[in-house]
Amino acid sequence: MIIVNGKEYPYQGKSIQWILETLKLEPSMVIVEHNQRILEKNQLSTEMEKGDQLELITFLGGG
Amino acid sequence: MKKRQYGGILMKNKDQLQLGDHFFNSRLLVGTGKYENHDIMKKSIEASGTEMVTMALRRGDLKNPKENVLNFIPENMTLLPNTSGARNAEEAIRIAKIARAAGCGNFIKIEVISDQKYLLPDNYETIKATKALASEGFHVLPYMSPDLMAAKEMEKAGAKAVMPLGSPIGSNRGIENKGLIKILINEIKVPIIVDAGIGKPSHAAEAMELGAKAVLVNTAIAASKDPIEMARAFDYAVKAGRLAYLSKFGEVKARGDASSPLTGFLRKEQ
Repeated sequence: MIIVNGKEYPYQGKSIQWILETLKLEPSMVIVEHNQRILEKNQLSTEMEKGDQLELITFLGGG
Repeated sequence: MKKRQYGGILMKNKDQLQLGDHFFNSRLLVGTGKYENHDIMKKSIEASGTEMVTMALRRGDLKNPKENVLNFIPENMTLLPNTSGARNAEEAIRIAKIARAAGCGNFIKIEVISDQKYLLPDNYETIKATKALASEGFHVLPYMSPDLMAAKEMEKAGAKAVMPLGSPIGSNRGIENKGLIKILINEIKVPIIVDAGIGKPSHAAEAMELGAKAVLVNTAIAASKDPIEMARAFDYAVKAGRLAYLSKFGEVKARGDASSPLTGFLRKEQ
């Protein structure tokens, strides 16, 4: 099991890049936090491990 | 993310807003929420003359991904990400760190809210977050309820400005606590920026006339019928209020005091 944006998903042993592609998210649109650590765009090939947490964060309008 | 410039440089003989070691020519900060679309938002930001823009950071909606708002903020703007959504200091600190790691620079607006009815900020948690983030090199601008002791604590903790609310967020009610804000203006050395509640250009001018160093406006511009023209109106109002403050007001009197001479009338001498 892995956790993406607070929700549990089955562990499939894939890279973060693969998860983004599956969710149809452009890497330029999100900030990727892997186990509370921000990843650079060139680190997205990192493989997910069981129990890993991923936060896909974006900037929205706000005041 | 493209490299952005954070804050301008000190200019001689220019009335600038100073936040830490950064200098701004505009005293109007604007938010990016509630716009009908990103195009109108971008044009409104440009029309406002602002140099500092706020935005929020959220968990992405995986089913309905939206365009990153940063792509629509003009490149010469200093970014002021806010920690909205945080209910305590810890959450605010986490959001601030993510924003900085994402390339937003060192400025952060701390917004900690646990009251969902009036959206009033939690001064106690805000002081804690200010302390923690200032010690890590952030330029902290805390949003707060106008309380002198809390403002002093924030200043002591290293805040680069203190941002009291005029009235609840998005209420457009104007400056309902003028007296308290004036006390902060008199007693706090870092700039006072009135944030929240400003609904009309006249409210912004009023804040500046009181001696606020800047104002932050979002809803009043974004939710108007013509945000681009309203942004321009706010630009004028902030400049007018600032000029008036610097020019110092005449005395307030209980009775009339004629502006024209009281001699030489064209009538029979008494």
